[in-house]
Amino acid sequence: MAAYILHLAILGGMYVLLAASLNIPVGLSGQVSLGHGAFFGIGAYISGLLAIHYAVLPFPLLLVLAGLGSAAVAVLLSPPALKLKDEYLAVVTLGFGLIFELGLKNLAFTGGTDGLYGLPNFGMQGADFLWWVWGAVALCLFVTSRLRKGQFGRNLTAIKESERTARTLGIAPLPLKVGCFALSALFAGIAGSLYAHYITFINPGVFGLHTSILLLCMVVLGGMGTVLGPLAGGILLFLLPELLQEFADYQDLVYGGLLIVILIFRPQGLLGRAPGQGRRRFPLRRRTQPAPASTSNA
Amino acid sequence: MPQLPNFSRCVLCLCALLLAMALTACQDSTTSKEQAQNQADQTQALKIGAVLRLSKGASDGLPARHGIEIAVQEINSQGGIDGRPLEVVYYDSKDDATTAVNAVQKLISVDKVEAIIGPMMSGNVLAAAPLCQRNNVVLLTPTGTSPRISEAGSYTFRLCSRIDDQARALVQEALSRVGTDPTVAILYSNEPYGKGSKELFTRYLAEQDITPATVESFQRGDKDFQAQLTKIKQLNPDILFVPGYLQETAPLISQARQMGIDALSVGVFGDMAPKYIELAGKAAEGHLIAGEYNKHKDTERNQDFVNAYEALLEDQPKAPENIMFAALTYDAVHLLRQSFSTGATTGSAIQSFLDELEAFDGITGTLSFDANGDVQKGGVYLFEVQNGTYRKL
Amino acid sequence: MIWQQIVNGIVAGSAYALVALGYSLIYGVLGLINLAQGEIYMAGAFGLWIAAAVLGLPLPLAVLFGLLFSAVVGLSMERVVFRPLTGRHPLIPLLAAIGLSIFLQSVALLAFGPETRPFPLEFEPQLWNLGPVTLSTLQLLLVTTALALMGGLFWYVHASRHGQALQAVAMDREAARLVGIKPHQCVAQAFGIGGMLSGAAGMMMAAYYNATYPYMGVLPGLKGFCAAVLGGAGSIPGAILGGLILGLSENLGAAYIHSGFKDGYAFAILIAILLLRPQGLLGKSK
Repeated sequence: MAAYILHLAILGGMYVLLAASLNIPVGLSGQVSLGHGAFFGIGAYISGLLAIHYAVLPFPLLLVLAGLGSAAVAVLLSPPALKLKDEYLAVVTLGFGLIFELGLKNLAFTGGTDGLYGLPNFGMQGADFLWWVWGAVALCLFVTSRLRKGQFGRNLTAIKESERTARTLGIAPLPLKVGCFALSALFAGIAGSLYAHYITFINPGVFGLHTSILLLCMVVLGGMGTVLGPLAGGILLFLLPELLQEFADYQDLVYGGLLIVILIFRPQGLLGRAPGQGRRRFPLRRRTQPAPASTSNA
Repeated sequence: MPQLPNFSRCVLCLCALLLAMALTACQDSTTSKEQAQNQADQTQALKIGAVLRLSKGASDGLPARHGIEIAVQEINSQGGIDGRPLEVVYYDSKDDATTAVNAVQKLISVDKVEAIIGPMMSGNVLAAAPLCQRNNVVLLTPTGTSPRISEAGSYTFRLCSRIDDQARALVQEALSRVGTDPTVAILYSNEPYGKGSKELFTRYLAEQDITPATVESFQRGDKDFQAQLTKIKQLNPDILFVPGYLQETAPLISQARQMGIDALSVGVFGDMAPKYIELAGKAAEGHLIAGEYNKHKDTERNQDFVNAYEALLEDQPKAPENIMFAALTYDAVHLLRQSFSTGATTGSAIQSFLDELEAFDGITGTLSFDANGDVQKGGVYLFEVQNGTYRKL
Repeated sequence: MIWQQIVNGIVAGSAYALVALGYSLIYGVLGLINLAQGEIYMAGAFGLWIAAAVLGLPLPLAVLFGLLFSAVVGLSMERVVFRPLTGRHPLIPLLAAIGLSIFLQSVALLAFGPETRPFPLEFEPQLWNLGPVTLSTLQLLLVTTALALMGGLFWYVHASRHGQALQAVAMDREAARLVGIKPHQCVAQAFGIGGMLSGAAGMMMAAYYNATYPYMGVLPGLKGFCAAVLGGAGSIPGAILGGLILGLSENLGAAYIHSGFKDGYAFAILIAILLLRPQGLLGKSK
């Protein structure tokens, strides 16, 4: 039992880390990404491939390289995409994730659909991984909270509410948005490396659309833009299959239904503030359409 | 941090509690080995685990489960193994490596099994194998065909033929039918099973100095093969190799025949299911495949199994039908039963038992395992679709 | 061979175009991307299956049943999930649609089981050889049906009162309300008609691929989304153009570049187009 709980804690921590990393662009600056699994995968494959070809590299270095590599890809690819708004950005990130997955499957050096097998775990036991994973989570949450409070965070909120207005105030949106993506990719890449060396086997299936959607749901459920939201959302959605073990057939039903119910009745997520309660950090109204004067059924 | 509303505080407390549980659990000192010993001494049920494709790939996973159920029912109705009933704990792999690993970890740490039947997909087997190896738990996959499983560790065994033996036999048979210097095309499913098959076909063709005129691929879930088939039709092939899962290969062959491609079609054992013939219809005629099990085998034990399977299908009319997968897991259960009845109930004992096994009378053949844990049953079974059913060659 | 591939592309593209039209209608009127459109596609196919295999109805009635079924599914989506979410940040309904997608897939899985079902009615494949191209009657039927549906939609939107009301709401909701149009009715219409179009595509593809199963809407839904955005979300001609480009690029890319990346070509083109023209090919620039 102990080993199992440990395993859940480690793997759950990775998903929390991924959700926390996704929270930075989605929650803090309102940039929807349906391709986050790709950054997770980039980190995992960088770490895995380096470990296979350059066995001398120590684990902490691989971790850093995976994170930086992933962030570099984000910096390179995101500027053109981030000029697009909501739905368009969503589909572009979706496409990016899909193309990445296809690339993994078809290129020889990534091991193709067979994946990379027999990755080293550097002699680390479960407990070691636990510290690394939750250490990274703590770091990411800390960074998120500092970003929220400082000038960076205020600028991001301004961009989220209205980009045009923000520009008139002298805020340049693009570098900030790219920065958000780069940070999120950094932590996602670190999660990838941790995953690769814990499970010691990676294949393209782990990093596809299914995972990207799961992460987005974790962020929304927990509360977009809140610091601890990804923690709550991540733990809950990760443990949901465990809790629903009896009703294995109905798991996805509950999962989808829960998402819908939460979004209708508590869209600020578990830890977010309800509209009207305290400072609103997150606009619940559309930017472009004027709010209807009354909720008439006309 | 500003004051959080009560609800949020509850949520955070819950999370903190869960984390605390995880951390204290690290210091738990009872080992699973001790508890396994306890289990072995008492007259409790003998537990084995099963990780099967019960939701997404349920057309494969459910028949596999039925095979286990039939075997367990048989064993327990005859008093179990030395008076101890056999019990199976099932988990769904959901076609996902992470879920499969979670399931295996749970079977090892929580349910404390010493042997696991499954996972079914090669990728999931490879992900779970190191875990079983570290914990001395036997992993017996009924359907993982990737050659890499042979190197997955001494605790990993497989009950289906290695895909390279299947491929070699198929290539030989196909070539023997079409004469010299044939044009060959390959259209494979781009995931470990299809891709592995593709590589083997290419290798064995190369041994005969034949290079495929074209090699195309498709994804799982694809239903539209027009693009690839149009290209293939241009080349007028004599043989078309189409390794993959039947959900794709059945519409594929149907579209190929509709287009007028009349090459000999060769598939792998993923096509060996009544569903393939149902979905492909007349296009399935003449399809050549390698299978693992001959249901027409004329032994009493086999006939009993076939009858039991058909009875089960009558009771559950909505169940997917695939007697081959059921037969494979049926034999898996009986292998473990045999091991248990000789007193080998711990993982390492089961592993030795399987290693040293000679000539086990299974319904899929006379079984033994080689040094890599691959089943040996005296050759590959080839089948052809004739008049709407599979006939062994 | 290229002509054959073009034909293949047009057939697949017609189906994508229909799904894309569903997206565009809803986006035009509500500004929301209904990522569960793929599940309406699946519902249409199952509607037909229920009518033909369970109720034993002949093809025309089964098709009608399928269309009605899809319309009902679309309307229920609007009423139960999207109406309560009006006025919220766009990310919310986007995610609700994803949740809806997962939910509907599981409902189908529980109701019908995981097995793929063949098309419940017989089709004798007749082949016509026209020069370098071979067409089957099924392909011809599908393309003409799709064209008919698109034609019907054009007429509806431009010539009928209801359709014009739809356009008005898409252009300016408040102004439309001022002249007496009821936006909620138009929204419902968009979901109903968009649903029927996607459902029709689902039925067509169930026949073409001879396969009906719970997850059949996932990829077509994503590709329809891609096509709608490519053509310019909210634009009807854009959706059709996007669908065709998608179908053609998939088939030509798979044939001439690498079949492994088939699903990726459309998205690659989409990304390229959006970078040059962020509103899509025929979309309105803001």
